[in-house]
Amino acid sequence: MSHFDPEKHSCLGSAIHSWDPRAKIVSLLVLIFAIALAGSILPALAGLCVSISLVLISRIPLAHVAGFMKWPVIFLLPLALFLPFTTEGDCLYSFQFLSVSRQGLFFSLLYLTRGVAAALLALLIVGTAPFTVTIKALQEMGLPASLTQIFLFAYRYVFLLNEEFSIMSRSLQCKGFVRRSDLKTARTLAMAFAMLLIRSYERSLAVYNAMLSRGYRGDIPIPGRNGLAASDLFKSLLVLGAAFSIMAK
Amino acid sequence: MVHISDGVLPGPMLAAGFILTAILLYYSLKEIKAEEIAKISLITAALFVASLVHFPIGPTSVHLILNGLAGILLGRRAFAGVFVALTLQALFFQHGGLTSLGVNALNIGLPALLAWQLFEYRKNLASPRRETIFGAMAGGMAVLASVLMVSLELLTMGEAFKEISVLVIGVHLPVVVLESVVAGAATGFLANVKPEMLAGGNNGSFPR
Repeated sequence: MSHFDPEKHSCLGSAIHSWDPRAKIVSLLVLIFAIALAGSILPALAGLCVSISLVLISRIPLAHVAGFMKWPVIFLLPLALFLPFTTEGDCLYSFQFLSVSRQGLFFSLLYLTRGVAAALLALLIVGTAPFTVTIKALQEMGLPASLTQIFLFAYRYVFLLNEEFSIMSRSLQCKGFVRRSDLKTARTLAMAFAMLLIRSYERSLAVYNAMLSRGYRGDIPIPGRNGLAASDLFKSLLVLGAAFSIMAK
Repeated sequence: MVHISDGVLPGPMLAAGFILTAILLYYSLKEIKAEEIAKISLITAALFVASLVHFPIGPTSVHLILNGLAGILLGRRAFAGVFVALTLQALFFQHGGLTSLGVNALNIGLPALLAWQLFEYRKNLASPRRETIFGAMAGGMAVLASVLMVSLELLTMGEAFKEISVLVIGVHLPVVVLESVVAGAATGFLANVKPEMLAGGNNGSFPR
């Protein structure tokens, strides 16, 4: 995670980047749900094509997309590999006690397609605007202010604390600590976690005092935003149209 | 595998997950004070970072969930912390997904609240190591509960998911033990060094 920068490509000048964040989030979320609930392969594949086209339009480098897509594939693979064997149905191929069923293969492909398409769209939501812009758009649409602030702070400090923990790990290594499968490793890391928690707790008190001295009273002002432009509505209309045609199939 | 990805669960279950998560979020954030926000956020971020650390188990490695520890530290606010952490994970690391966010938040967050309740019982035990003992119990129980919830949800999907449900429980049993050791040791350490950090601690920094 140390070289991880989710906002690296958040300021490219594509049609997705210039889309109003509120319209973008709502339209893409509707599309994600439409794809994730698609009942058969064809609409799911159509959804995947729409997702890939949108990613191409966004001009996010494909290497970044591939690195990002590693995890959903890892999470979906166990399901996708098991289902062909464990689903009852017409036997396509059998080897000793294992048999691949047509229905199982169908479900496996369906889950994989829906999962990958939905993950690509999630990448578009966060990858095409700075996180603060996205989360403030959500607040404008009704996310409670307290939750918005927890999001902003937690996001900000995840990177900093990760840096801090890697320094602590390095200092443990310098003192001869090696991670093994034993109780001592578990206890040592538990102490390190506890220390990280104490540091972050104490830091939070300092952060709060610093905020108070700058006039914090419990909410962060959000800058006013103009109404939606015709181009925002047009983009939303296109994406929502795709979502409804996937749902209708 | 404790995170359920997009595209797997049926619509009604996703909807139920979101509704229950919204209710628990409301309960978790009720009467929140301005000074709590920074604390909840930083502890959530620290637990997030710690959960990314890999533990070697034989030839493979696992990472912790730490939802029990979240309950022990944040009390009622733990559900909001879990929700925020899972959303960040779904968005930036693609662990889990946006459509299954409600169900996933319930799977991890509800056991966090149970862990907090279990940890409260430590007050009935007159032992200098009661935080370690109850921390270990709460930490292990929280992961076990999460794994059982995931497994049950997969089971409701039909006969074909039986083997996967059993597999999910099987591969997570070592995590339950590990999590219990880590949560116990960390809670014992915190009870000695900074007892006010524990939920319902000396100054009650997080309301019960």
